[in-house]
Amino acid sequence: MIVFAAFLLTVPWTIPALINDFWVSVIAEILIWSLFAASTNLLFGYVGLLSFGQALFFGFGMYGVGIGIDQLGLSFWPAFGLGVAAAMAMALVSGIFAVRLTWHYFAIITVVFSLIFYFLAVSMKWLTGGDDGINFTLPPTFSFGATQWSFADPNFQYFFILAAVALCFYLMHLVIGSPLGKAFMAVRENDVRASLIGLNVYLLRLTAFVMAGFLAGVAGALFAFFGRYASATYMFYHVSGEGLVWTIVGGAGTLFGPIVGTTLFIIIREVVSTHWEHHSLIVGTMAILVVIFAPKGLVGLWRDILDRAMAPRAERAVSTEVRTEP
Amino acid sequence: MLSLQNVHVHIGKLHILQGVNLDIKPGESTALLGRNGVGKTTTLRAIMGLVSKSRGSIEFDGVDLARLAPHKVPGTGIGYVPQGRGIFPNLSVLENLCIGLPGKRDTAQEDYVFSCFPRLKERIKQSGNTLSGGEQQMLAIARCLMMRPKLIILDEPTEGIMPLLVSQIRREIYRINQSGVSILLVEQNIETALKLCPRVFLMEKGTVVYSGTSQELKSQTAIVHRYLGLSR
Repeated sequence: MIVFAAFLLTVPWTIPALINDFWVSVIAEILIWSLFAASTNLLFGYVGLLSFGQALFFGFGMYGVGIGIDQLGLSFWPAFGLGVAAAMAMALVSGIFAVRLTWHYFAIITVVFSLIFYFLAVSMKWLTGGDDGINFTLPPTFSFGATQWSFADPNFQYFFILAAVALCFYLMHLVIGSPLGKAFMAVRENDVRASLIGLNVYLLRLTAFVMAGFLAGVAGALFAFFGRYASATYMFYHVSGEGLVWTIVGGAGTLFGPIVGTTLFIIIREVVSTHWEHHSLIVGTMAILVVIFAPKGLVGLWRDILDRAMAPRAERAVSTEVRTEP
Repeated sequence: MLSLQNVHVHIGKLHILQGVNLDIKPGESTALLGRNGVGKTTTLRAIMGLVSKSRGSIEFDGVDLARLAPHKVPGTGIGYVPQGRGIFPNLSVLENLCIGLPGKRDTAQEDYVFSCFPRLKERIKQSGNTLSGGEQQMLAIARCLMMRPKLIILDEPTEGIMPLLVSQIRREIYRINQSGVSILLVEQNIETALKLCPRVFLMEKGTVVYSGTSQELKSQTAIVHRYLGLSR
């Protein structure tokens, strides 16, 4: 775990110096989608809510940025703020209804919300650009006098996305380790039992839902700047499904699981899709194999291997201590 | 303290509780007995707001519990240890104890809890799922104590637990009661119930058919045989 954290704290910052712009761009995309998968993970892995609606908040993050820049003439930061705020507001409104339900009922209502707003986005052409979406020109992120930094510079774009995603993962780490995070886990393990010790299960689920909306909204806003456009396609529920697969394969209920799952599948897509158009077959097969043979995901599998490797050592240490006792 | 008056509960078409009357006074230790399926657990679930009553009243210290959401009931001073151990298996012992408590860590109460269950202190960092059944039950009771309750409701706390730990749990329930906390105990082990609780309620077909002292009940073999299926 410490090695992996050290890896994450150092290696990503050196990547632009080591690989070409295409792969830097792919890694930036992986970071954004990892954050999106983390929003699914917060709900599914820590609170036990299977959401197929995270794409809705991703889409609101995208459209907040797109509409903010294209129609309202906002600069980078207000547009970014608008995207994230729109995603959180949508999460709050839909969450008020959705988190009253659990299990398949919850999954279904999140799909329904996603579909409603997808079709609304497609039909409201005057606002969202319909099927074509919104294309916009990038405003500078920072400008000091004549000096400007914007996403037009691939290295700046990469480092900005890296910093934003790292900050979000750090915040998630803080939440998970806090009493609020433990309360989330208590709700995941047994909601009735949680209410019997005085936890307001509804409020906790709603809080998690809005937090997950925040993560998906940040991911959507970053993706809008990354692609210079906003499109209803990303609000469709199959996008949520992809996030869920990445989370489950990487390891639901682990902080880094979504990063591992997303990285694996996007790299497979990038490498295989140039040679073979049916690359999703590999993705599907891998997902099935992981679910059957490593239900805790790849991070969970890695932890189990480490635990098994460490356990005999610990036992040996104990038995040595016993033998050397006078 | 706790008063149930003519409580009726319907689940679907079934009329589970058919006018339960029950009262517990401050500091009292009371047992609720009866065969399987007579409505004991439903009575407890009605008190905790997990099932809605269709008629009657449930009051605790003058508060109408039926008006409260289930998560607000513990705040009135009622701790509930459900059947089958009420712990969170993937959280550590300490996390199980502290979860949901408002404000800073209550170290004084933690010390008291660990004095009742020293085994838990030895396993403070272990996950709940690595504890034995008896230790999990201790943790469930300890979790309740952390809330400084006025009344603890225990649903079959010794079910499926090795005899050595049963006697320890029994001892601690007695000690908790001696500290002034009222107890409402649902227990299949009649011997445990009669030893711990001076007052007994007997349930049959969704209603209380007998209330009296455990001493009286012991002498009424006909009642014991009829409602508990035991010949004493």
